[in-house]
Amino acid sequence: MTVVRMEEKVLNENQRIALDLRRRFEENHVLCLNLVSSPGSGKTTLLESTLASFRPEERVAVLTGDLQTENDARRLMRYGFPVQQIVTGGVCHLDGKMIERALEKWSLQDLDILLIENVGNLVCPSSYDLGEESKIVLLSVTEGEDKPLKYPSIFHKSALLVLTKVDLLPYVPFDIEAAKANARSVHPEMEILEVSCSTGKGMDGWLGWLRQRRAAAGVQTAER
Amino acid sequence: MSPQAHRLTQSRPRGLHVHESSILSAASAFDVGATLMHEVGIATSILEASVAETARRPGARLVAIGVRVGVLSGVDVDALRFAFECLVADTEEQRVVFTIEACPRVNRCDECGHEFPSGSESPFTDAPCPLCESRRTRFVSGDQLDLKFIEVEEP
Repeated sequence: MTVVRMEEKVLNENQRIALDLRRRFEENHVLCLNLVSSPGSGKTTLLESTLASFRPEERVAVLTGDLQTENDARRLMRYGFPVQQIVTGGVCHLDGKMIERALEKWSLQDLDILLIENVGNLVCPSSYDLGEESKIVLLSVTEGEDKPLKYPSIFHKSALLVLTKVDLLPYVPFDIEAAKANARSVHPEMEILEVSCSTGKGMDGWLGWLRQRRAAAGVQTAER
Repeated sequence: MSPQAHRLTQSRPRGLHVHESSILSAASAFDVGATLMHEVGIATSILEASVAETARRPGARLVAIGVRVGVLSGVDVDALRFAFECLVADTEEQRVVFTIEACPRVNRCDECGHEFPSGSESPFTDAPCPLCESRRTRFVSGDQLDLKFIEVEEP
């Protein structure tokens, strides 16, 4: 009997593609962000509000993933920026190859920001690197504040937590401080923002975070 | 094994050659969670890499696979085992022993440098350093998803 030591990442093919994507994003000074949440936490709505706030000359594009339908792409296309729907046909997450294939239709030289809306799911997307600069996890106040404890992997891997629908806080039993404490127990350095797309509360903070991230990505590449 | 996974095993038609797509349709038919198990894809990657490595050795037969799965990997150990069992059922690999080493979250203490698992299953950082009781700790590991080894029988 022979034991063969493998010591390799199970998803090393996805990792290889993700590293290649990350290199291409950096070379072209593109900030790529991967938005993850449960279904219905408000990823598409946050993206709509974000696109609505951008000037038409802004060089931003969106890839949006869903199990079925092109509904999200239709919602997002109204803002005049390039949008592509990735229909996974039942697969519960986006992977590097899907992003690579979608990007064949665009030139990264024409972009500053690429926003990826992952399939609504807090579990599987956490295992798949898409070459993004950061993962962002959304949690709406109509969900349980213990979600960071139930789905620690994605909260551990995301740089930013966006608490959405905060205009509903007076009407729901959501304990926002407990939610933040739970997130920080999994990921102590996590940044946390509160946003309501209905009232616009917190949108400045979110757009400021995006600008800062964009500038940081630009500075890094300029220094190289 | 989770109750859903158990139900799936029980309801799988006997003698049918099982491959990934039939597991996927079985998974959706029996509504395993809200979405399909990504563990099926992960088990497929593990099996493919192991079979490929075995094939590089003339006459070798795959007998065991060892993987390492961290508590923060986002992979459910029971679902992974179940997916693997479905993939190999009624194939040449059906007797392959599949070993999963489940890894806890390991933190390092900022004060004294001690590295310790934060509870056997706990993915949280709450636990203070067991040596100096400092609460200033840092993540070291716990998100592994690695193929450790394969074992082959060679002629």
